Amino acid sequence: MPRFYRGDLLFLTNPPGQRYHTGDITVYRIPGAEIPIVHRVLETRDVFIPFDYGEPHPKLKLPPGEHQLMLTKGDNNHVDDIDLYRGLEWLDRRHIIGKVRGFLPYIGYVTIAMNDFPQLKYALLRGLGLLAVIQRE
Amino acid sequence: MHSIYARANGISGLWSTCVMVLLGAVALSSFLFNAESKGSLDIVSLKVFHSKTRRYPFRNEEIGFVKFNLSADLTPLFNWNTKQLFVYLEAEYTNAQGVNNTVVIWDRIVRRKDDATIDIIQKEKYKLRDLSGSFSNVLPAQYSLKYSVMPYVGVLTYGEAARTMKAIDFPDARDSVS
Repeated sequence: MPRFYRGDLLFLTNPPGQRYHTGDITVYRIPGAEIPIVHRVLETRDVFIPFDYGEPHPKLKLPPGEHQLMLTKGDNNHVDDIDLYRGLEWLDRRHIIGKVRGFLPYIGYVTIAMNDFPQLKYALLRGLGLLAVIQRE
Repeated sequence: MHSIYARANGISGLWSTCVMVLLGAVALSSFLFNAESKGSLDIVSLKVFHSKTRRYPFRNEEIGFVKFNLSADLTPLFNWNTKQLFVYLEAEYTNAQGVNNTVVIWDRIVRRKDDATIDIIQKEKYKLRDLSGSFSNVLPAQYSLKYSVMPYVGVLTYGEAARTMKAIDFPDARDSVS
């Protein structure tokens, strides 16, 4: 995503029944993938699979009901995310963790600094432990 | 309240409160700018060809190619809290099976106010295709230009800048000249 840097805090919402629109920035996770991906919705297709199909729709392989199929793409990529979907043809509602609503830059850096530099984490813990011992309230 | 620890604690508490209030104020200031942007959008040509896509290299499908004439002035959307604009042109249509589709066919990132006026006649960036693989039973499509304002701090906002006057029918598919 352009201009989203490590350490930015994203506020997500994911109310049930929420429709996703093209242009929404979604965070989704493909089953089997470790990390969620923050990309923008490129296409939405609202399909309804009728209940009287004996088997899932032959082409789409989805259970009966309403489905909002989505295709995403990173803004800086030239092509859509189909190669990231690990065999899925479309994203379904259940793959989406949420839609980005708002944004706080750089807030996450403290946590990232701790994870990237474990010495920092231990030094901080040692410092706090020392303070706890010598402090007398 | 005179130890170094207590002073450091007090200063850092005050500092983080100030930063949070400042960020909150910047985020809220975006709501003061109720800018809207208008433009005009025409479809110059819409052609449908038998073709194959990268996604399904072995299927014969009908692909739509759109050429559009777009002019929009998006400068009112730039304020001090605007990091960038994401502008996208999308096609909205319903096919014969009742499936509603919205497909983005062109997009652009606008980072500066100077680049915010768009006056182009251009082809699509992303091919238009239908789930069923054919446009023969598809209802006419509306095209609209939408934008998303990405702030430095705060809430993402969306809007629509232009729309085609009437829905445009898909022509019959032809074979591309080879």
